[in-house]
Amino acid sequence: MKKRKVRYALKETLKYGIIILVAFFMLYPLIWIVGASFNEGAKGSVLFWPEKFTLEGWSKAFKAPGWGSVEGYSLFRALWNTLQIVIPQVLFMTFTTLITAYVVSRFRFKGRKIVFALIIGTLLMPNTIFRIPMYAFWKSALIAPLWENSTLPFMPYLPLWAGSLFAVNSFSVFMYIQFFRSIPRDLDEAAVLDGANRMQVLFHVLMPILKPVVITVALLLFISAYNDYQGPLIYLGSAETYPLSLVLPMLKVDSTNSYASVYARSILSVLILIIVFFSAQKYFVGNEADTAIKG
Amino acid sequence: MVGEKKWLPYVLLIPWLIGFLLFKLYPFINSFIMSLFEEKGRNVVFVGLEHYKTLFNPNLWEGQQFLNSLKVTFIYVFITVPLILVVSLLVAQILAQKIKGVGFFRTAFYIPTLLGANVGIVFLWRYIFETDGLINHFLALFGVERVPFLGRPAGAMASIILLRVWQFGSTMLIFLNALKNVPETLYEAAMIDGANKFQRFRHITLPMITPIILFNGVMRLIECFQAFNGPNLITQGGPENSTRVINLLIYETAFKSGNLNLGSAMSWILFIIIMLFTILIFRSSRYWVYYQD
Repeated sequence: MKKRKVRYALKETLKYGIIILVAFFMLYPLIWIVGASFNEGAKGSVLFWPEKFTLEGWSKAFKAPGWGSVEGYSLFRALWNTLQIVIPQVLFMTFTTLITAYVVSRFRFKGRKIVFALIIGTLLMPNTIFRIPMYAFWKSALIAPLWENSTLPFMPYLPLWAGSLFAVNSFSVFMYIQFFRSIPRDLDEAAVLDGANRMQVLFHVLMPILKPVVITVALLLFISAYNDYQGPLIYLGSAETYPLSLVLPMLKVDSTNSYASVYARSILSVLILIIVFFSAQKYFVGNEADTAIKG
Repeated sequence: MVGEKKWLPYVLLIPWLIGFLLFKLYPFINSFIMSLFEEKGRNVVFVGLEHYKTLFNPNLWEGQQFLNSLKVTFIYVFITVPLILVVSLLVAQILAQKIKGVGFFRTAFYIPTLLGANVGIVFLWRYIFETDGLINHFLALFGVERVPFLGRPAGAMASIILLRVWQFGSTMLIFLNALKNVPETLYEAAMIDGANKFQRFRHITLPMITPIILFNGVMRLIECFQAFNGPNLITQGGPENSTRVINLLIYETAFKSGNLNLGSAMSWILFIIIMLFTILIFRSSRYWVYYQD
């Protein structure tokens, strides 16, 4: 009996030991960066704690335009530019992909199977194949005046979010479809018998059940749009339109920029991402997995 | 359903249909057409499969570049994808057991996925691998001499692979969910038959989650074949082209040098390679994927 107890304790320690060690190594680079943003001079040591404490990095980061050697770039301007890509992308895509998934999962109509097959087919298509012709399309003489050099908000970023009006994100559609599968159809049918139309069924009857997956889809879209780098790199020409993902790599450690200030700005630029993630997290972690594959 | 309007689903699908035609089908076909042409001065000339021949000709500079990128991409993909699968399955396996603070660990393991794709963090990765960076500080504790990781082909490759493997969070969450759906009764039956822990994992857990391994494997494969941020921001393809993955070469050819036609040919080759591997994996799945129903 005693032997078993010891073995059990040993196994538990090993289990927690491994998992804590892995978590530690994964998070350490991020923790280290936070420490290094308070460290004066060089890059700091392997320790998280700064050798010579300074607030210089952070005070610089908050001053707008706060980019030191990269003159004229304000962090907050870049953040607003990022949001001009993120906001339409999240708002429209969450909605249009929901409608598409609703139709494919809950309506019986001719061609349903073809639509479903095309959605799964495009899910497996690498984005690289679409990129060059779409660039040629947006840059063509007919289309370019619509968005290039536009002074309206959101419009200079049109090529980066226009697809969201048309449910082009197959992965979002797929996640919704998988979730719809787990909701019994009786619910829809009962509501229709009570006199609700199909749109009322979606927005009044199913919406409360769909809430976690809607938030999950919106959050995943937020993360990918916020982090998007290749899209802005290809389409955005003038420096005033640069989002965070284009401004940050221009930050280099030099005579006016200490390591601390570079780290502080990087941390500041992902802060919104962290805040949004943690406020939606209770719906999210696990849900992505729950909905990604079922059945 | 009763009294349903027959046209309603079609009307609701109009946005998706426009999206499919304009953002998927049109560029898909057009990128192939573009790959058959070449800009000569102000004219666009039909050249047939000439670009493809160039790309596979090791005697031409473009061919050398392209074949090298193919090799580099294969190395990257076939180390990264298995590593992600193994690491995320192992961590998921531990988290699937009764463990305190599962919620905390799930979040902790997801944070690198959340931040790892962000440019702000990606380019800090450079400082971590630098000769004077965190990793070398750490190795110095054990008396190891400083290694210029980013200055050596293998070290540069390792740093971009690590950056990607670090972001195993979403793959792990999908595995974790699958592990929890394995019926407890199967394990109980196996324990009665005297199966030990490893045997239970090998003969129950693994077969039961093969559909998920297939899903995760295919999704990660498609994604890793198109890696871009790490190679562009950390190593810039170097040293000596050792991390110039194909998507980076396509970017440089099409958007930096402005040769959209040659870039399209490269995209098509990448597309065909990805399709071949996807088909191969799905074909082979009948031998190793276990479906319950």
